[in-house]
Amino acid sequence: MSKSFRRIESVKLIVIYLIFLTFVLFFPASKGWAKEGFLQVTISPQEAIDAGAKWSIQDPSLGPFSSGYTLRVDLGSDNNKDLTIVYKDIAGWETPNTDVVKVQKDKTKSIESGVYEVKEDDDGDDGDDPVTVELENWTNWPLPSGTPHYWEGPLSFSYLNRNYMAYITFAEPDGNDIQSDSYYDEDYWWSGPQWWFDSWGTIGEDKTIPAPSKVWGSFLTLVESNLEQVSSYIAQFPSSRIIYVDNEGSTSDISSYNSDELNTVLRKKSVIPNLIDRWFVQSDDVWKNQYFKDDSDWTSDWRDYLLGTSNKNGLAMEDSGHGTPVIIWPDNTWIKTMEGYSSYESQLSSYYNNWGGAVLFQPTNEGLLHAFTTVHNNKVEEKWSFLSTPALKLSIYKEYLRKFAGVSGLEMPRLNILGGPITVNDIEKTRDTSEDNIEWRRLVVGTTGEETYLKFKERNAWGKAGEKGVALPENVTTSNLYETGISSGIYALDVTNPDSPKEIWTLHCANFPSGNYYDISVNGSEILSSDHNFEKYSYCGDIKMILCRPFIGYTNKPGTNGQVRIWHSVFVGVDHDNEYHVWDVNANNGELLWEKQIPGPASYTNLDYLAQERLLPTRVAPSLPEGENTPILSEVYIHFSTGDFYKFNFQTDPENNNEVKDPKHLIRITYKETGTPNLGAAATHDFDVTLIETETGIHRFVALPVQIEKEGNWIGGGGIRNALVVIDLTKLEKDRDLLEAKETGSGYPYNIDLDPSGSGDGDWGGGWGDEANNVQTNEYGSFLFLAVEKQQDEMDTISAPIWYDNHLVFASTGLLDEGKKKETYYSRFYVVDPFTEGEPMGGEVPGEAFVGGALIDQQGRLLAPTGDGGSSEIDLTSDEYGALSPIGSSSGVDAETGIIYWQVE
Amino acid sequence: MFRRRKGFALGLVLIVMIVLIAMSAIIMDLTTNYTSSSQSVIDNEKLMNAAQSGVEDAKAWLLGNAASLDVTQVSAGTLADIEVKLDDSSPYPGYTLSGDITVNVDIYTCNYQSVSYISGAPPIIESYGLSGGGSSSRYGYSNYLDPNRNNTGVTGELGHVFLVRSIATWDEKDKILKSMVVIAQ
Repeated sequence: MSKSFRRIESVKLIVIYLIFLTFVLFFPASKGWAKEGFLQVTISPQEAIDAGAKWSIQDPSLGPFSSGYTLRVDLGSDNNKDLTIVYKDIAGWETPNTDVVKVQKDKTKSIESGVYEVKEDDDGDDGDDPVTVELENWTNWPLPSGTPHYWEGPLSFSYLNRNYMAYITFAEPDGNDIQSDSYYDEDYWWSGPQWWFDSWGTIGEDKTIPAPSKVWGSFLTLVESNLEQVSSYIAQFPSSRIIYVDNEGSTSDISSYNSDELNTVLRKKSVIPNLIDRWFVQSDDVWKNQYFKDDSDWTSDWRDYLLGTSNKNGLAMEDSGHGTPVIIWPDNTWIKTMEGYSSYESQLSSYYNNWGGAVLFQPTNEGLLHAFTTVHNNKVEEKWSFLSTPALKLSIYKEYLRKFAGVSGLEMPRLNILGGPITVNDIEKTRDTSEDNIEWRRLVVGTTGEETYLKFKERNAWGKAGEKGVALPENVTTSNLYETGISSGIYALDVTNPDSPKEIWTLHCANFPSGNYYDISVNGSEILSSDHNFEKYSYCGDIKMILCRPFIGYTNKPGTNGQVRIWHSVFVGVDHDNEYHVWDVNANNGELLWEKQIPGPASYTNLDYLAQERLLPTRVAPSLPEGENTPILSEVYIHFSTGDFYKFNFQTDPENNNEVKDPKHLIRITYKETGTPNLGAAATHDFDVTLIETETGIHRFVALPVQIEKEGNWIGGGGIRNALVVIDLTKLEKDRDLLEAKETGSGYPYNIDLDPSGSGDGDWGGGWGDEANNVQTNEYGSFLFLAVEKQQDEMDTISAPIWYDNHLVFASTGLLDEGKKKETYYSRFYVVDPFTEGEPMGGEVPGEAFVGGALIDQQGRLLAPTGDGGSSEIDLTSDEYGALSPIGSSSGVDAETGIIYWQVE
Repeated sequence: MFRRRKGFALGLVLIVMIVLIAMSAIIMDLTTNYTSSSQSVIDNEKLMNAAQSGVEDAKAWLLGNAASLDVTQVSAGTLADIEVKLDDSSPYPGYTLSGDITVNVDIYTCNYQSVSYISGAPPIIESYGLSGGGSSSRYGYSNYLDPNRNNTGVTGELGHVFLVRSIATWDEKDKILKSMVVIAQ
């Protein structure tokens, strides 16, 4: 061996020795050599285990563990250790006492003291009533709406070439009848939902619920125009009213239900499940939720309220929120040339004979969609109402709130249950091939409107029926989590035969931060989240509110054998990101075709825009494209309440449900360049579109009634005023398309700034700085400030402007300043030639307030009802108002007959 | 040497006569045919006029009763099932022409559904959009696609379609005239 080799071997030995020494000294203190024992805890009985019984260790906190689990206990350097066993509280069971046990080194300590006992009821019986956790029994409580968010004058729809119009007026909670009092009152603004949200406080504190806002009532008035006279009818209600609900696919009248039947429907439809650990019941009865159980007073009181003809603040209907009355006739000019129309119209006409020739629909916030006759047997009367599933979901909770909130007498809290606008239109039933038979149907499509906030059931609501303030069972607590949800929904009824309405699809979602809870029904079948087609309906969970009237039309798409039409029902609203959102769904079954969030400028991120959407909701106008005469959705315009104006073409991608991937943001209209925020010019009524024959061809024009801000303040003569903006969209697009092509991104939107001192594209603001009551033309259109005279007595639009023989006609009302705070109403019809500068034509009606909209009848008369129950009118065909031509009357072409062919044999 | 031959002139005359006779026969035949054709045309025109008068009578009746025509769709197995009726079920009274010519006029609705093959039935047409009747109301009037913006000028008036069949008969000859007409409701 060499000397060096021996040296290496010595080093090796030293290293090995050191490693050994380290192991011997330190390993006993390490975990690997720590002393250990074992603990096994058995829980009984099995029912308690099934109910969720667990055990755990305190200090250190370990667990929870299931019955029979063996826990390895680290004793450290000790030979034994004391441990405290605690058992989990479960509803309906007495929890075993805490147990201290000693676990010894290398031994298993078995404990069988975890014996749960059935807890006795409050009534001291034998305790057979278990407190169980059942998924379907938790209820959420809707928060009452503090106040509605709209003007006292709610939305109206302006009718063209018809003989009826309808409008609704409200009775305030204080009993004032707005119709006879002060229908028009621009200073009446209401607070937002936050007020109620705050006043409820945090859940679990057993706060007394403050008295919710009381319901509003409403009147519905139908105005009939015939050759002889104009007559008004206040809608009446029969002593025996009908309330339909959908009961597993068939329509039933709950007014004739007995207590059990009523409870069955409520149990099935009115319970919103939530997180499982927050559910409990204290009865093994069929009706787990005690207030749906055996006290028929609850449900019968609620039903009596719905059926009552004078208990909604003295009236038969609650307020309509944003829901406009809609009249529908058998004929529909937009589908006249489509196959199968003639026999369909004949069928409808026969149905409508007993309804006065047309049907009037009105949604109201107690949750009912009312169907009225028009003038039949010299009156207008409700025939039935329908409590659609999304409304039924919340309606019973009005009774809860009334009983627990301490509201006295017959007064009810106000909830936004069915305050969304409706549309009524005709569609074909879905065809897979072009050879399938065509079958038409008539739909009412509507939404719940504004969102309703939900919170967990109040602690003091767990008492027995009528025993207000009874606390929860000892070992059951409501969650301390403060989570509020939002309820929203959509419904579609088939009203082809108005005597046999049928719910065909409904969607409801309770949206919570921790998850969404859906109730989706299509043709009586429930769509569960586990179903393969659930994804096509889950869009309901994104909807926060829809206040814009839905619209219906069709697009073409390839079928299995040729082109087929797909019918769309389109909703424009606000999603839970607080962005505008377009949901395009199949009108026949509610399935989502496509959806699109409209972020960026067309969104609101602050309460000002939120309030603006609530007060002046987004408007749409599906427009007849040039060369078409059927309701194809290739040219749809949307005027968002932020002042952003978009164009959608739904007929661009037939292979993908005609999804609109790139809507055109044509215009942004603002009325205040400075200040916070820079508010968009929202529409004060529906806007209208037409085609005009110009020197350079057929051009698309739009007329937008918008709000603007006049200099000054609310008291000093300033404030929000009304104006009319007319734009040549064809010219605008032609120019801006070029600009867009040349300078990418700079062509759109075209910025219209209506602030006289502001800056925008073109001269829009400067033109009205003197508040002149004159049409002022512009490169792309014209502008009209609505006032009686220059710089004096502004007017508000009462009806939507309607294009009529190249003019715009509408009704307006204002207050005439007579000095020393003396003001009287002053109304005016406008007949505006938007292409000629100067003062518009108009019929002035001093001392009257127009209410509820306007109608252009078949004789060419523009008429508007007045607040005193009468009406005023002007003859648009007279020379005084431009001698306008009624629709279908002026060319002299003989339309009485025609020859298709001759044949000689 | 040259020698005169007797009887040559007679032969020539005979030949000329034969030719003339043949030509006369041809001319006579042509003339007879012409006369016959002219008569046929005259007869045809008479029948045509008669049939057309039947069609016009039917159109006048349809127009005169436009408001009370029963335009509901019918289920048909025979031509009789689609004969036009008024709302009170009264039929088209028919047409009578004075003189020798007989005219039979029938009016059939085109708004029907056939339960079996019907010989001579008109094509099925539920309704027909009539142009005119307005100043092209898509221009300058509301184009808002909603049933309650009742811009009837966009689609024109809606008409119902009828087939008028008029058969004129005389002297074992007949003329059948069919006209499909649209009547505005």
